[in-house]
Amino acid sequence: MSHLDEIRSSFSIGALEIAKRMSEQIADSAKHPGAALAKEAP
Amino acid sequence: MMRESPGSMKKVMTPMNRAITVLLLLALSTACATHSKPIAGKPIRSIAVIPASNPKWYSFENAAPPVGGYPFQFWVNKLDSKSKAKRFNDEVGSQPNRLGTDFTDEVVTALRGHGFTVEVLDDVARPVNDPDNIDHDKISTSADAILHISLSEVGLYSSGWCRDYIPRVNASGKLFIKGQDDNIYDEDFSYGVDAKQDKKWDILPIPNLRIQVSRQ
Repeated sequence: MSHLDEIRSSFSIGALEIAKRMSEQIADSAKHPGAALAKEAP
Repeated sequence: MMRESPGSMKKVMTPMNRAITVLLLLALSTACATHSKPIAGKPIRSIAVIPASNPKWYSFENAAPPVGGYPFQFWVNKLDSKSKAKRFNDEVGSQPNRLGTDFTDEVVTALRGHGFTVEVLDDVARPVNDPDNIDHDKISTSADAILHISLSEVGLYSSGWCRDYIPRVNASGKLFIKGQDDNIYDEDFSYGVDAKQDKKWDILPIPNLRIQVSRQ
């Protein structure tokens, strides 16, 4: 694996890890939007 | 005490009163129409996703260790990083860039797996120089909510004390209902350099993902 491939691969791993965690949270918030909005209210 | 019979109302319904009543009813019906979107608290079943754009520039930071007492070291390092960043971007940019697309695909697949109907807004209008700065008011969708995801920064960083570079991938996601001020979801994520141990959403770099890059 070349340096460039290794770097690209590290970016992909990071983006996919974030995508997994983010989508879990988004799904949870979308199923209970009231709770999320109440948390934002002052 | 005098009481009016129900029929007496007809006598006071002059043409003017009728016109006012019709206008009031029309106003009420349009007011209701503006609230056709889901109200806060109602579960969301469909999501329109504004895809993350592919990075146009990769940050490349080489914070070389300060040489004792040399006052211009900060600027020397800065200029050095700038020239390396240009070379790095020339190299990385020589191959097709699908990072934003892959990131979006992963989020969309996961949301569909959770049972949501997902529409990807591929043709959303984007400013050329700032593709993630999208006017949400101009988005047309029948979905219950809109999700805007973006990669805010992607690149490499070296502390200068070692030869290794650590990847940096920062991203954000915002879920909102069009026309409502509050977001249902709004979070920033960091992978690698900017990840903080005390921030539970961040993802610390994996040691074997440290990369050696030529410092010439």
